[in-house]
Parts: sequence; structure tokens; C-alpha cells
Amino acid sequence: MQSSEANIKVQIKYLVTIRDRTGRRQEEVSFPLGSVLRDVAEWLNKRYALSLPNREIMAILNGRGWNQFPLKLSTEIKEGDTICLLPPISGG
Amino acid sequence: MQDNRILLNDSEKNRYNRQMIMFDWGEEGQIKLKKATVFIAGAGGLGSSVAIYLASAGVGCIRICDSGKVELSNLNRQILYTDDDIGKKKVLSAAQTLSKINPNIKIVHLFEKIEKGNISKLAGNAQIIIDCLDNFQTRYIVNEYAVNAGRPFIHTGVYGMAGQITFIFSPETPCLECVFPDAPPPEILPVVGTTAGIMGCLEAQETLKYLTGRGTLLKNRLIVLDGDNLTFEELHLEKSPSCKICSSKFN
Ligand SMILES: [Zn+2]
Repeated sequence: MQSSEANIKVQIKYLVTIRDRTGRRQEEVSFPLGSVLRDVAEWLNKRYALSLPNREIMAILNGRGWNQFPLKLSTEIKEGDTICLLPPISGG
Repeated sequence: MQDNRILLNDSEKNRYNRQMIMFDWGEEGQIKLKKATVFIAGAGGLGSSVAIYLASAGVGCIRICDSGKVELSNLNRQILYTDDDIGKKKVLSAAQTLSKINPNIKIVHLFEKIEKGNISKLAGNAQIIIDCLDNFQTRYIVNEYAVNAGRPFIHTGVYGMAGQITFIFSPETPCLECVFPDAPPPEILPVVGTTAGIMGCLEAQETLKYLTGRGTLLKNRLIVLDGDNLTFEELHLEKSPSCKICSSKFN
């Protein structure tokens, strides 16, 4: 994203096997003010081909599942938000 | 008080000596364990590790539930079972092994598939519910029951060399659906036995902490183990005001 005064920065964390697809553990990314989760998903898809939303990637914004926000992917992101992506760690 | 009526005999004092000599554990902590009932949902890789350690530690009553039979492909991780157990009901075989590990405790084996209609009966009077399941669909049933019954629920999952764990106690913490509202597609997942062992040990330890009232429980935090790089990542969790399972309890 190009930098401008009206940008916000969010932290994106890639846990366990997601890291293999992004080649990094974490990064800070700038988005234009007013961006929503869908914009984050599109940015991630373009850069890492993650095909979000994707049932095989668990996506968490500030400690809650993306789909727990009433606006879902239309939820606006804010400065300092943390987004975590992890695989479904569902075996036993 | 009822506390005084449950005592430890000399053999138990000897058996549990190494934990009883810990600061703040003693006879009082051990009696709390002896009086306790836990529900272990699932007798697979996680369930093996949890059940063995809770039995060894002297938890008085272990209710263990699984509808499966032992298969050869279980034996890389389900350390409660041996080759001789193939074809047997897991819970029956588990109960026999656990009684040998510790004959002083009671094992209630439940050969049933967990469903909405039977979870209350299966969990019985357990003070804590321990997730040793292998799929999110069943976890959601147990999560909803735990939220409504006001019981603590330790969630754990494993995937290959990775694991995750959090201590759910609604309404103090988010429930499972606040954080993971969408079940991943059901499939056969890779699991290395040691991952299930590590994560099961963490669940067992959180259970012992809860039952004896020590330490700080893993509430509002998700620990994610990356076994390949041996790191533990910690995520802060939040309750969801729109969660269909738990939000009515705290909104
Ligand atoms: Zn919830």
C-alpha cells in the first residue's frame, strides 16, 4: 500500500503452517483509512494466494473470529489492530 | 465439614508424596483431587495423555467418553493402547489400563457418541470438561453445554506438529465459537504422537491447577505451539458480543 497521512497500520501474524506460505512470521501493513477486512483478505490473496475467506484458514481479528463481527468481512479495520491467521488445529 | 471425611490413607500419602510436598499442595490439595470428578471428551491421542496424568495424579473420578474402537493407525499417538487392544472399545481398554496405573480412583467409561441430547448425562457431575476431541462439530456441542452449565472447558486441538489450547470459562472468558465460529472441513488430520502428548499434558496441568486452586489459568489466552520451530505464540482472546452461544450471558 502507498503511504499517505490517511493510512492505518495493522499487524498481521502468520502462525505455524501459514508461515510456510508467507515466508514470514509477522508483518506490519498499511491500509487506507476506512479499509475493511475484505481489503485485508484481498491484499493477502494477491500477495500470498491464500484464497481468503477460506475454511482451511482460521482468521482472528483482535482475539475474535472474523465471522463473529456483525459486519463480517465489511468490518472496518483500525490503527493497531492485530490479525492472526492459523491453520485449523482441530485434531485430537 | 465434608472435607474432613475424605482422608488419604498411608499408601496414598506415599503415592502422591512428590506432589504433596510442593508448596501450597499438601494433603489439602490432594484431598481436593480425590474429591474431584472430571469429564474427558475423547479417548484418542489427547485423551490418552490427559487420562494417564490425571489418573496418576489422583483425580478421584474420571469420566472418559469415546465411541471408537482401537485401530492400528491409532497406535502412533494413543498411548493408552497396545497391539493387544486392537478391535476393543477404547474406553473399556482405557479404563482397565487407568485402573492399573492407579487402583485408588474411579473410572467411568462411556462408550457413546457425544450429541446435543446426551452431553448433560455424559458429563454428569464433572467439575471440569476436557476437550480431547478430533473435530469442531462435536466441540461446538460440548462448548454450548459448558457455557450453559457454567462449567470450565479446556479446549485443545492438534495438527501435525502444531497444537492450541485455551481455558474457557464463560462468561469470564470467550467461548469456543467467539474465536472459532466456523468449523473447518472434517478430514483426517496428521498428528504426531508427541504433539498430542505435549498438548494433553498442558490440559492435564491446567486441570490440576483448576482443581487444586493454584496458579493462573489460561483464561482469555490462546497458546499456539509450533513444534517445528518450537515456539509458543500467545494470542489474547476477546468475547464476541454477537456470539450466538455465549453473548446472552454477558451482554
Ligand atoms: Zn461465545
